[in-house]
Amino acid sequence: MRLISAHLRHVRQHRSLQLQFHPQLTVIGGANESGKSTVVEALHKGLFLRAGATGRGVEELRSRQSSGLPEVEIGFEAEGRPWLLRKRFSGASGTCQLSDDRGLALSGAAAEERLAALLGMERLVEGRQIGQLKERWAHLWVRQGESGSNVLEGDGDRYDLSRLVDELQGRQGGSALESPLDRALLEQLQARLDQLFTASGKVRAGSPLLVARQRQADCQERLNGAQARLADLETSMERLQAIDTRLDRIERLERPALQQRQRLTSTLQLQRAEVRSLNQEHDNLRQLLDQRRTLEAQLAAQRQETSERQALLQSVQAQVLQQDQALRIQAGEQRTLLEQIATVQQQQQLGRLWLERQRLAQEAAQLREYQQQFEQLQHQAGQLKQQLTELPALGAAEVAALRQAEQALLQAETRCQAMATGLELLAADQPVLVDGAPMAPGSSRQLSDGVELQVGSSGGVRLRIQPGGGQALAEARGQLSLRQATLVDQRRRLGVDDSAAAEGIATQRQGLETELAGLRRAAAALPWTRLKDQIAALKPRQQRLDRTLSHHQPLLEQLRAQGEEPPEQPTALEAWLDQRQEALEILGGHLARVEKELADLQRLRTEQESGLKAHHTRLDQLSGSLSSLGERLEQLTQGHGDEAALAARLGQLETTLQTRQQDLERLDAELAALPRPSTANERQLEEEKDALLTQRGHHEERCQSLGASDPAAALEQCQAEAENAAADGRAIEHQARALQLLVGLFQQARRDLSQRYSDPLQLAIGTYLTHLNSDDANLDFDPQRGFVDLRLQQGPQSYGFAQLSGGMREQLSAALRLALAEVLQPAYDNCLPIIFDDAFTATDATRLAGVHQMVRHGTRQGLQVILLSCNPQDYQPLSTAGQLIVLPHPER
Amino acid sequence: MPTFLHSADWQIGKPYARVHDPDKRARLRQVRLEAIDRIGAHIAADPPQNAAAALLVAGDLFDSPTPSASDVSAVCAAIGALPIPVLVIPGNHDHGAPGSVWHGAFFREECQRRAPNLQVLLERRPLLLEEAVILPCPLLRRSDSADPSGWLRQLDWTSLPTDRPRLVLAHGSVQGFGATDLDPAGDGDEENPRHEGNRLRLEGDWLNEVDYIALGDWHGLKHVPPKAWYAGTPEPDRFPRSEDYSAGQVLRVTVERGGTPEVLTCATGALQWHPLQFHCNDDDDLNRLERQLDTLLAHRVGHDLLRLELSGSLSLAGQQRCGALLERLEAQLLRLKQRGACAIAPSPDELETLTQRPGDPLVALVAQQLHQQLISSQAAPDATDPDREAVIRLALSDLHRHVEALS
Repeated sequence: MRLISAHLRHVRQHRSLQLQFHPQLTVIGGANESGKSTVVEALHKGLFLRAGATGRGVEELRSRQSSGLPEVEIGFEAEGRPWLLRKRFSGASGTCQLSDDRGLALSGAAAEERLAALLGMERLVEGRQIGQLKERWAHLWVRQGESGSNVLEGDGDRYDLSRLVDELQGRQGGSALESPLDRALLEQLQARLDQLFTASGKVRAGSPLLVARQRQADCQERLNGAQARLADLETSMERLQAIDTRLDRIERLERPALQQRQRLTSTLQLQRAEVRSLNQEHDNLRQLLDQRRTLEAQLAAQRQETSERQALLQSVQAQVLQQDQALRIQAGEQRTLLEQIATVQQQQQLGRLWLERQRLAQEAAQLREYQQQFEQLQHQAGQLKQQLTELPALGAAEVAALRQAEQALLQAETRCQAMATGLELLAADQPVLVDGAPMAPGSSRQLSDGVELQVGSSGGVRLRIQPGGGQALAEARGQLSLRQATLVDQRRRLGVDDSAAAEGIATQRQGLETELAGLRRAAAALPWTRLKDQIAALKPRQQRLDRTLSHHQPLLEQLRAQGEEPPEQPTALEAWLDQRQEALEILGGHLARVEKELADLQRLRTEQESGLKAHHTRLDQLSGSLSSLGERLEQLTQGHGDEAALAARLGQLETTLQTRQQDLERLDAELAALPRPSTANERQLEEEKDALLTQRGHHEERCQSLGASDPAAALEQCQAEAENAAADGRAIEHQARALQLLVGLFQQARRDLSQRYSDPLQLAIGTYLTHLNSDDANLDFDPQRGFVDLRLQQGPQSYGFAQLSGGMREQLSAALRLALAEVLQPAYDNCLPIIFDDAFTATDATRLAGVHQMVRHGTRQGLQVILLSCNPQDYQPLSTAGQLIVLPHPER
Repeated sequence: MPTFLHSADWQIGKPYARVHDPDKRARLRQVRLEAIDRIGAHIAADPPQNAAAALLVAGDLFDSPTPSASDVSAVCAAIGALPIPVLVIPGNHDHGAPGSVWHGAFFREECQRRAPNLQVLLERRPLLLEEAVILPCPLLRRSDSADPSGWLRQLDWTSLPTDRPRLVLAHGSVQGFGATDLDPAGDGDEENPRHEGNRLRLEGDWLNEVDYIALGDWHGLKHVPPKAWYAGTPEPDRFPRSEDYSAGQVLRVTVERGGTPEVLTCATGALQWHPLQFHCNDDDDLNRLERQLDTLLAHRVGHDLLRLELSGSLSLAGQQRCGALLERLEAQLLRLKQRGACAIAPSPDELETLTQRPGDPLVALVAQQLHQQLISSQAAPDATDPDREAVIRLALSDLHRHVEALS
């Protein structure tokens, strides 16, 4: 189907608009409000709206400038020949005429039926169904503002789905996507599956599967309940049995045992009390007997001790007497020794005084000798000092200085001589005068200054001899003079002629001074200071000594009488004193020994006295204790009899106790042999029995209640039901899984088959998209919903249509529409018109070239493209290959 | 020499809950009661000089310790009709704990009213009869870890008369003859699980002091040499698992003190419990199965019970036919217990019908996929999903059924 021409009359702003369409490409330009979209709408309604339609669809076509009714005349090609369609929209009386070039002229309903057939429709759109009008050829008629929409969204009729599928099916060699049987079978399976599962895959409420699962759960719950009831019954029975056993034990064993135990316990208590009393008495008697025996033992022991102590006391007293005698002897000896020591000490004192007197006399003589020696030394020193005073004051330094001056003079003379000229007169027969002084033959002379030599007396020959050296000789001679003067001065000052004399004097002075120093040293060796005072001080000391000695005169006389007077000689006297000292030491030793022996005797004596005292004290104590013990024994005897009586009573008591103890052991054994009571007394046993009976009643009721319905049979019933439910459940689960498997495989198969449908369309879209430098587009085919899920593949990313930008949506939509038209056009006489009304407003200029190529590609595939734009220059490159129509400016 | 009848494990009141049909359940329960009458018929048939002195029931007379009143009345009535004393001990099913049927007033009254010849032995002490000494070992709880016959070890045997035989009446498993000794799965199965405990130690010197040990608990006939016998249940109640399994009898025991007991069996069973294993290689084997069933059941209705263990595989059509056969058996039998199944294995024709459908591309594609998955699953079973293969087969069967219905 291809549009050839259009003539609009009284259609909105178009009073009369005649358009001729290019077979391939027509660009219709025009300013806003110039009526471009009116053309699009008028063509669409002319083709698809019934002429007799009323309402909004027709009202929109009415002219704004005239009262004429809208008329649309469309020339087109279809089924290989040209057709002319005339429609006049005048409400219910609208007319439609369709004619071809073969003489066919139809009008009214026939014309519209034929038109619908040519357009691939069942019928044209009624006025009251105006909402459906936009769905007609929506994929080919791109209205303003709809270019960015996805034509695949919505009903398949919008893009001629059934014819599209037919075309694609034809490309597959006529093989159908699915057969009616396929569809019916799938529907049945799906219906069965839907009974089991919701769309989200959950098990549907009320479905057999859920019912089966619920039944299994219920059965299991009932089974658990039945098991619990049976277990409960068994437990109650067990408990009953335990209670019966316990009650039986109570009645048959424990109660009699308890009663027997109580009897035995009571007897035991009485017996034990009696034994305790007997034991007490036994203990008392035993205590008394022990006490008596202890007292007797103590009495005997103390008597023995008294006897022993008295014997010991006598012995000690005898020793004390001996000690006293020894003490007296030792004291006498001590006194004798002390007297002897005192005598020797007096002799020693006399000897020392006598020695001191001797030494004092020696000291006085020595001092006087010192005084004499000192006075002699003083005299000799005075003489030597006088000799020194008489000699010049020369020392070694002065002698050395003089010798140095002499040496310097000699050096100066030697130098002058060395610089002088030698003059020797070997022989002369005439006088020879030197500076007027004759010179004897054979003499020589040293000339240090220039001299005049005259030979002959008349002065015949006069020679001037000038020694060498020049000025140096003069200096040497000056030096000589200076040194001579210096030497003379030194000699004069020292008072000597030369250095040898000076040296002699210096030596003499040194000898004198040495001698004087010797005297001084001798004087220094003497205690010359305060000698006189010392000599004077000796006298009083001597006087005091003499007086002291006078006091010892009797002793001295006594010694003299004994021939032992102290000697005069100090040495002898010292020996005499040493003898006395030795005697004194011997006596001291004796005295020390005697004193130690005396101290030992005294200490022993003290100890003996202390022992005596202790013996006396102990004897006093023993005496008291013996008296007391005797009294106590007497009391015991009077109170309880003597020891034999006590022992006899104790023996009797022990026999009785032994008998009683045997009785107790027998009773204990009897008690131990009784069954161990679970409770302490009969009352508790009774309470336990009551409690058991109560429990028994409860459990009997429980058994009766549970047993009434035979829980064992009920359990088997529940087990069988649970097994059945499980088996049924398994069968239904298998059935459900089989259904899911089947439906899943069907859907997968359908997807695989539908891929064969979507592939050609995808390929066609891809061809258009290559002009936009875009990757492929993807879409799926669903036999029920048609083509769906249009996506643009860009690299690895896939974008849904809604995710694309406005411009990209326009371009992808255009590619899709062109591809759809290309696939569909064989069904429409190998041509379909596709109209874009301002369809690329969001497409940027750089992409517009791609759009141009897409359009060119479409036209090359046989499509007829009509572009409407307010910017027709945008499509200038295209229009060269087609036709450009510019609508006039709108009339005001 | 006195003669006694030995029976056990009547389990009156057994609910047969796994039998779905209530009428069939009632029939099975009734047959157990009627077994008492059949025992009575044997007694009545004995000549007077050989009349049994008593019927010894070695436990589990009832199926539970709390049977229904109607079962109690029916049992008492049936026992009361027997002309000889009936001595009963409780077993593990109807143990004698307080609160159990034996202690109930209703039982005592019914017993007094209808069965004065019934004596329940609830105590472990000798019972002196004119003809014998009965040594009962009643169970007083469902499971007792102690040996129920333990009291015989402490018994003063000199206190017992020596002029008459001594019969032990006990219920439980025998030491040395565990479950696996009797049959591969024990005497129990998943419907009749065995109880642990109640082990009888039939060993020691005391065995020399007794002449016969009447045992209950195993439901089949079993001789435990030299003196012990399990009588088995008088009416079979389970499918035999071995050839030598025998149920549906009472034992007629003639015994004297110090002698070897003479034991005869008297058939009392009414219903037939058949085990049948069958392997289907293909659909034709179904004919063979039907022939075997005809032979086995002899066209009886309501008289047989069958445990059918199927294996092998059948085509999709064969499955439908097998299903119909099983449905028919279900109606004929008192019970059909089915184990295993024939796997669904579509025949080549069936597969071609599904996969070669150019007009129905989806069906063909899905059938091909299923067939492929089935092959893969058979070659490498999924350990984490053991039902996977069955689900695939079911899906194939389902697909086939739908296609057949829509074509």
